[in-house]
Amino acid sequence: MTDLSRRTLLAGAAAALPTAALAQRAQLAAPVTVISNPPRSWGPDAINTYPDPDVIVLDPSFGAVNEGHGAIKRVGTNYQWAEGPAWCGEGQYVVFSDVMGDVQYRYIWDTGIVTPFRRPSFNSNGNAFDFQGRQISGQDFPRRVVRWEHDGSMTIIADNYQGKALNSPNDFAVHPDGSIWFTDPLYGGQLSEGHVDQGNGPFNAGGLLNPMIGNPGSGIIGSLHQVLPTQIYRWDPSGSLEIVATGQVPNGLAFSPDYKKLYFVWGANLAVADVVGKGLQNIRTFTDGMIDGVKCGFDGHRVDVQGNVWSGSTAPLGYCGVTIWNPAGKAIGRIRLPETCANLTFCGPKRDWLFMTASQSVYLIRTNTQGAGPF
Amino acid sequence: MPDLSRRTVLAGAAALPPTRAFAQAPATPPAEPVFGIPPSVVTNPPRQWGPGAPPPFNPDPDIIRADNSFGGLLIGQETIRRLSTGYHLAEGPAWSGIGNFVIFSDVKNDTLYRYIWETGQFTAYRKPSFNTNGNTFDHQGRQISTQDFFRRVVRWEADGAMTIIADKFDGKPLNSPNDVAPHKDGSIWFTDPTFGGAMAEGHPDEGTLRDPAIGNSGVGIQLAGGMKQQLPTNVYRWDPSGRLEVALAPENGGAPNGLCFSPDYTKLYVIRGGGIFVADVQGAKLANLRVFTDCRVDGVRCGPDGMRADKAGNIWSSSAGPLGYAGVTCWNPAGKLIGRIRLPETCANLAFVGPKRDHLFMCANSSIYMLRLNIQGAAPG
Repeated sequence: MTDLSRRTLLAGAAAALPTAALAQRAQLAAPVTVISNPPRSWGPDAINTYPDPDVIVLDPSFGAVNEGHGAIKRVGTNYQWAEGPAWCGEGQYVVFSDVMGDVQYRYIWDTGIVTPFRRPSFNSNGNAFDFQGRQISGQDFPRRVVRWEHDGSMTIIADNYQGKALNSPNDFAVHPDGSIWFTDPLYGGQLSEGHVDQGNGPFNAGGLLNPMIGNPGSGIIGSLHQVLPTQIYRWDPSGSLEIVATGQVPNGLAFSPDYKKLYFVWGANLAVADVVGKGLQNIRTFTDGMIDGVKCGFDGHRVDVQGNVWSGSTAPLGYCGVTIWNPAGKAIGRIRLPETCANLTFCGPKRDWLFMTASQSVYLIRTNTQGAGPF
Repeated sequence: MPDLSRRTVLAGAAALPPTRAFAQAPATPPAEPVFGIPPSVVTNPPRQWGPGAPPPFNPDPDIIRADNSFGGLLIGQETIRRLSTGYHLAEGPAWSGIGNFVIFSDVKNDTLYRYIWETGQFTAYRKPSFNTNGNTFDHQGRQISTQDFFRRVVRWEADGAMTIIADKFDGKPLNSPNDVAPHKDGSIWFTDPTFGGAMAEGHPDEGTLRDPAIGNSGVGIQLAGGMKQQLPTNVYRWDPSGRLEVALAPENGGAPNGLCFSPDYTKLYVIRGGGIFVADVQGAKLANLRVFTDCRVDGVRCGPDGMRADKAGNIWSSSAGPLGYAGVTCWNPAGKLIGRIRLPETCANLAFVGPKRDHLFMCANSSIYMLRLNIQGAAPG
């Protein structure tokens, strides 16, 4: 109670207009942020203030999911391209991919230490855990979707559609009916994130680059030519693979808490569609990502139990980080990070922390909500 | 290099016969080979462990073959390693195949640890553990544990939530579920001895000289499970429907302890009364209970506590024998001793671990030991 009253007093004092006498004595300072000069520092000695000055409320409704007594922490750095975070509720760790570094790391919750979990990762990209706690991963190098079973063995879930090789499965959303929905853009065709096509290709103009150099020793290279359009697939537990959306380049995807809607990156926008049976209907733009006239580009996102969409933001400094959109597609808050953020997940024993994979670093902040569904 | 040459000179000098003998004999008698004795847990001074220990010798002098067939389960170059020490009572190891880590309990220190495979680090995973004892992972990758403090069996679900599997039978609280074996049919078989009633391992019963309300981890003793042990020390089968049945009553045998299935799940091995029994699994029932082994080796009782089966059906059991026999005993499916591992400490339990499930992880009182094998564990967890 003492603490609470002190907090109230402080808040009241800060909100009140200073009298002339008070104004002379008050020495208010702005906390350092990612856009101040000098900017906020992130090492072990960094001092953070509550509320975090880089967590920005755009709409009062953000207060319901924002934990004011929380600060952004950098919990790992020096990756090349951090992606695909996913929370293992059974094992209490976050896996994430350094796609370009060809390592899949994990953040051990009980120690806060990041360890190299699978090395090489075959350029694993997106990760998810299904309702039975099994890990689903996209491997950009062999251009396929795999699942790690409970006994530690690995199953290839999908590497082709009707005999044609997949491009490079990227991100995953698991449905309670046992199906796995995934996007198949073509980013794994880049030299740094997988392997290029043999000969002339989307990322191999003139065919000058050699995809056979730097194979991580498995001899398994997947397809040597991207032949399929960029699409979204639904993998059925029966083993069949069906197209649910085609015509744009997809990226991250996530279901609404009731599994009646699918949010997915669709070209430059975040789209939403109704999940009807095994397919999608009524694909429409959810948001174009414009905030203050600045384009906050999409890559990966997750949904909280209230239905808000938390998305990574690819934007200039000041707007890169995370954007939070309510179910109506209105921006209600954002998190500024010093780096472009590709993807994020809810994690922690209560699934109330946000783990952000942002270019070369990974960041954590506690929220006041929980992630919807696994994980 | 100077060191090496000095050693060579010294070794050569030691091997030379005395000059007098040389003079008397017309022909030089062949030099006797000079053998060293690798230090073992029974030599004086004994084998050293830990970071400062001298290099291990192979074949490991503390791996003892009682039958030629044991050799097929071993890798000659592999030696026993101590991974960690300082625990009060290490118990209940189990391997998470999805998470690539080993969990184990320090029952008395009220902590569940884990060994992270890729780094070899130990972390305090669940603290307090409420005196967690036995652990396993079921066929769906979920952690099943017994909690001596609460006198119950719990399961950790895929989303991280915890479910109480069993805390009473017939309306009476369980004694202190100890070790757990998951069956392929989804059932969970567990033993319910009384050890959790020991003050150090859980909480004592009410109405004794010891006060169970002191030191209850902040839970409130009212919520700490049964306050009076009143059930026989049964082996139970928990059905996925939620029904709990007695699979084995304690008549004609002591309290049960560790248990495991044969690789084909047609047999259940149960430790009780200082020996290992085996019975045929017939659906939800056990039939034809018989002695598998009395765990006597060279006339020495190698008391078992926990065990696991390998893929060939051999039973690897912990041994609480005296120094020289403490460690692990390995029995073929006919109940014949084929080999054993000497540890410098009494061993309580073991599990097959590692990405290929081919390492034996031994929980031995205050320390954790590991040995790589040429066989895999039969079951997950």
